[in-house]
Amino acid sequence: MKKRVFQTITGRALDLERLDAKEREFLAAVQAKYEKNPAWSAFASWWPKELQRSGLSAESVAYRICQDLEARLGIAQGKVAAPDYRDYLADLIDERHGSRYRFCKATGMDPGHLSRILAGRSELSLQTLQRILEQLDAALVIEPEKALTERFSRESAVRALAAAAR
Amino acid sequence: MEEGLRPVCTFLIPVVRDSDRRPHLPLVWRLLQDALLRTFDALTGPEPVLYYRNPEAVPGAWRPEEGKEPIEDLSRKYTVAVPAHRVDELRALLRRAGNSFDQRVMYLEVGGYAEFLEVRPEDGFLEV
Repeated sequence: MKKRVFQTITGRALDLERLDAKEREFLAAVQAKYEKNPAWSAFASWWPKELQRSGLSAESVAYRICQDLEARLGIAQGKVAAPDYRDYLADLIDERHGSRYRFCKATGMDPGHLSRILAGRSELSLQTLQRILEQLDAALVIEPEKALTERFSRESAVRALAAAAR
Repeated sequence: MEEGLRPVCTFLIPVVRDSDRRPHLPLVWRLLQDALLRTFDALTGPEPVLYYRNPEAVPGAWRPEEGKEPIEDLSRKYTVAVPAHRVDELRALLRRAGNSFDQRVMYLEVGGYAEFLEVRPEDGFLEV
């Protein structure tokens, strides 16, 4: 049977199999709110309060899901840029190493350079990117823009939320 | 200030970068929220505000070219109450945010008093 996951805009799979009743109830409320296509900042202001009111912490997978949903709204409403390689890279570093510091220690990369790259103040050379991807056990894939747009659309999030709240 | 008092601190994050006026990546908004949570245990969301940023009102922080018009920015307003002795930590966090959000100056209000924080490269960045 296929494992139920919520796929973030950067393709990270968040496990929905272990949601408890409180998380399910919270995500059902999020789904109801999200389907009304709220304004980016209105949603951003609403969900942290609702998360706390539900007795959930930032350790809950629901926290990451809401951050992702907020980003999708921002992108759809033109307030947030579509994710670029920096978003993917940061997510991979977080997932595989837990922190920028640990990643740099493991790879020998200069932390200041990585920070400047992630902040859009500097660009990665292809050689450095290849080295980083090897360390992260990841690959560079060129996809049609349409496929990417579908991945971070609000609609795909609504479908994933419906599955989460079940 | 007395121990235990928590001044209400408000700060603004413009929704576009200073250098190219483009919106921020999803990553930096996430890093800001994670940093506030990690540093102050503050799970907070923003409110949208229209902030009229008059460059001349920024004392010694940054000066636009002569004859340039003031810039109107849509900003997100965050409010956090932090212990008085930790306001400097918030200032440091905002300076790092300033670099990550590509801002030259960050607006902060502490207990009703406005501050303009100059952002310098050596302040660092929000971290993953």
